[in-house]
Amino acid sequence: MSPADPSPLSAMVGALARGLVDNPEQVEVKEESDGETRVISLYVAETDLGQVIGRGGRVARALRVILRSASTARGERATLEIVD
Amino acid sequence: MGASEVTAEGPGAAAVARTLDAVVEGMGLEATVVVSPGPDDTDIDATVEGEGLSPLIGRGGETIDALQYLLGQIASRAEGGSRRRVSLDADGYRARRAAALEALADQAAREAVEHGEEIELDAMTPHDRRIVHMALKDRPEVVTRSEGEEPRRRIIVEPAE
Repeated sequence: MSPADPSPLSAMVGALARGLVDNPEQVEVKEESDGETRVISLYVAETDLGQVIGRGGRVARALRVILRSASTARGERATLEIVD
Repeated sequence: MGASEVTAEGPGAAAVARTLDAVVEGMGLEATVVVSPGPDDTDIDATVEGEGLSPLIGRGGETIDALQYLLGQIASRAEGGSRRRVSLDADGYRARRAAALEALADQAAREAVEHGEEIELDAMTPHDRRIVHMALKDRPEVVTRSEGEEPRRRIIVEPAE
């Protein structure tokens, strides 16, 4: 994997995550490219992990649905990793 | 970009506008975000106006429903934890979708009665299933139920006993 330029997709993931957590200043988004796919890694404060995963994973699932639509619209592929 | 119009007050509405702007940008859409007060004091109506908004809607509305859910969480957090209900629309999608689902429900009810058998509809989001259940709740000749697990949960329409 190699580093990629931060994309509008990363900016979008960051904006969504900052709205969801108690510690928005601790939200970090990193991006790498793995062949054709952008791998977007989301880091939040440990105490905020639950907020970006959600009950039964509902928040994480919603984030991935939105990311998939956005990357498809841009003719790209991207996956989201929530780093714990 | 980022041409949002916000007529609703409070940090929740501001957070909804800010987040939606970022999503519109992330998807690369040319669109305007409008955030206004909803039917209740605490409700927020958000709509995105523009062309080519299908990425925002997604297959069967899954993207707009996912985003509406997250915006509700985000608005509530911005208001210090007091619940805000956010309704999200894109270019009149909700009304078009509701009309299409009501027509589908009507057709399924007719077929169920005509053939005397259960009609199984395609999988739908909870939001869409609710529209179908509501469309048929006052029709005494049929009953509806949901079966299966998300995201494959679907409605069965059957003739009443």
